[in-house]
Amino acid sequence: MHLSELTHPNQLHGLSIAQLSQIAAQIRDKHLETVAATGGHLGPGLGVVELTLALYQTLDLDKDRVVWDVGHQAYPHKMLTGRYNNFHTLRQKGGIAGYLNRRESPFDHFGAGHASTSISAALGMAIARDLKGEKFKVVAIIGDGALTGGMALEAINHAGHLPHTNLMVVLNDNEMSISPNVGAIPRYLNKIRLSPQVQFIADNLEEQFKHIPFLGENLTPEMQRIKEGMKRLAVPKVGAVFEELGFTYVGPVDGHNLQELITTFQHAHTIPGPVLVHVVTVKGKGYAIAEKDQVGYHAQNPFDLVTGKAKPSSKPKPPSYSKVFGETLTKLAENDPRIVGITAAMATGTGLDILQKRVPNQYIDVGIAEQHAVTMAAGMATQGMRPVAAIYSTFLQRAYDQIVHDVCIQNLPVFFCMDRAGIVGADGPTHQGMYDIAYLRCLPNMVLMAPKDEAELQRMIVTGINYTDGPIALRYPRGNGYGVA
Amino acid sequence: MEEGWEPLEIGKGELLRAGEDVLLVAYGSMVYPAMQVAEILKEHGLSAAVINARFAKPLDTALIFPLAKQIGRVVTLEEGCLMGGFGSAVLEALQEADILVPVLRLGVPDVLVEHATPEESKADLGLTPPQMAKTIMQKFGVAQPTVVTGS
Repeated sequence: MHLSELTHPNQLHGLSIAQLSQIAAQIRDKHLETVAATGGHLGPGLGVVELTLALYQTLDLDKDRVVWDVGHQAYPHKMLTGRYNNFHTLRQKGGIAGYLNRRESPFDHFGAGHASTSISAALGMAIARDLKGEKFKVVAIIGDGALTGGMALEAINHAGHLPHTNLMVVLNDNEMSISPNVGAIPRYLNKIRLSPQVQFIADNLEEQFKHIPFLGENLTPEMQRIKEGMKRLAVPKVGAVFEELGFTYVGPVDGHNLQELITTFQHAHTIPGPVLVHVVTVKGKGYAIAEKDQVGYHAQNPFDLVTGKAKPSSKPKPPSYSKVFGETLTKLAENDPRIVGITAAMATGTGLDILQKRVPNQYIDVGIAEQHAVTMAAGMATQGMRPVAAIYSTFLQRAYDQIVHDVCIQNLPVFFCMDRAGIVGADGPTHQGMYDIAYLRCLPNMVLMAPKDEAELQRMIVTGINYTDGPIALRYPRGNGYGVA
Repeated sequence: MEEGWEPLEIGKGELLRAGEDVLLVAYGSMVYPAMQVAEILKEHGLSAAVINARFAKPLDTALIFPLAKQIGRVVTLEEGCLMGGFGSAVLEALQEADILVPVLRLGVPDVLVEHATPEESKADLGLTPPQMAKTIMQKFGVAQPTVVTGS
């Protein structure tokens, strides 16, 4: 069977491993060919080809529900759900969207463009199912990067308290969000990956928990339970945290071994209550150039498949707003130790990678955690620092109460720099920077500014750094300036 | 960029172009398009003043109010949602100051903007300079040609 003949994912049922491997190769070819031509997300999708095939062989997608976190890892899903023949229109006007979209396909059960929402949505579906007395499986697939977002942890915390609500969470663990992950949870996952399967949790478990600052305090009563619960001795060290949060932990599984994946999913479907299946994948799998440069190939402009090099544009372009922002802030930071640039897992996108290289002590990546980024900035502001929260317009929406409650009400001088403000293009509705003027303008104490070009952007960055009477926000568009220096 | 390190005064915009028939008040990425709109309007015999607002809050009412009163027709331009946006800020300020002149707000209406190139989306939303010039002429009942060309 060729991928182009697949119009319904249930056609995968009963296919042999050899047939699935062929389809996996066809997905990769189409994926690479399309993204090379149109641009789009590359690494995330290539990493989950086998995961998707194996999972869908164990599900009935006419009944069962699947929620893909972020959605940009769902290109294989799109190709398996009747969109192969249109896939070349990816991210183009009128074509296939770059993210999941309930209006695009009945198999896109929940849309997403921002990270960390999948477990909450899936849990909602599972609770609804049980209230309505229906029977079907609900699966959330979430990357380890998205697990650094607080909302995912909130959902895990809730699901763990519902032992009778069947829910599967597949952790797609590729050690990356867009940039390498930061913080204790990824470090813990890393440790998990390296542990031998049968290593027992008896030793220094308390130490393990202490390494997870967000969870540490709440787990103290749980610690007692562990010591009593001998059954957990059979669980590899790996899953200890998830098990203690109420999930049954399964894994880690090789995310590119179809047979192992299918067996594991089949087994996991039989386990009642919340289950976490830990799948280890390689971002960009099957395209050596992307495997090697996982940051660069997370998402791509059109490129040459053989060399992996971006197709040169016909004429030299003026510098992008992001680059002017990164350069300007870095220059200011070099002369002012109070300036700290803060990003939520978007070092390259925001231009803060320039600051990271040249003034690493004044650069912070908090992970996909905009809420934390903003309140942390507020805390720094109370100590006389000049925190600069460089967060896209669309992502700053995620930290609204932090802006109201922690920054504006206390009138703290936090400088918000919102890239991608306005119409963003191929990423579509989830990423449009459309609302920031409206949602910030109504807040007391907030100052709002926007430059006409990149030269004025530079002056506004200086303005924002100098302004210490309260919060100030700067919006600027995606893309290149006008060449005015 | 070795120059241009002077901070701006908070809440101060700039008048980029003087004009008598219509006042364009633009924010951020819509300032250059507003200048193009002014050029197109000129070709059709309309003289447009253009303000680069720089600040949506606080608004430079000292700059905007006298020109709005004197010219009597105001257009706001922004790349963002119209509801609660920059144009709303200008409207609210004018209303509170009892400057009751007609105002046309250009920006993104209450719809989702699907994936496309930014240029395609702007064309769909009527936000290219020729489209905006045409809308302005329609709004203010100025004799309009059948075809409006870009500059």
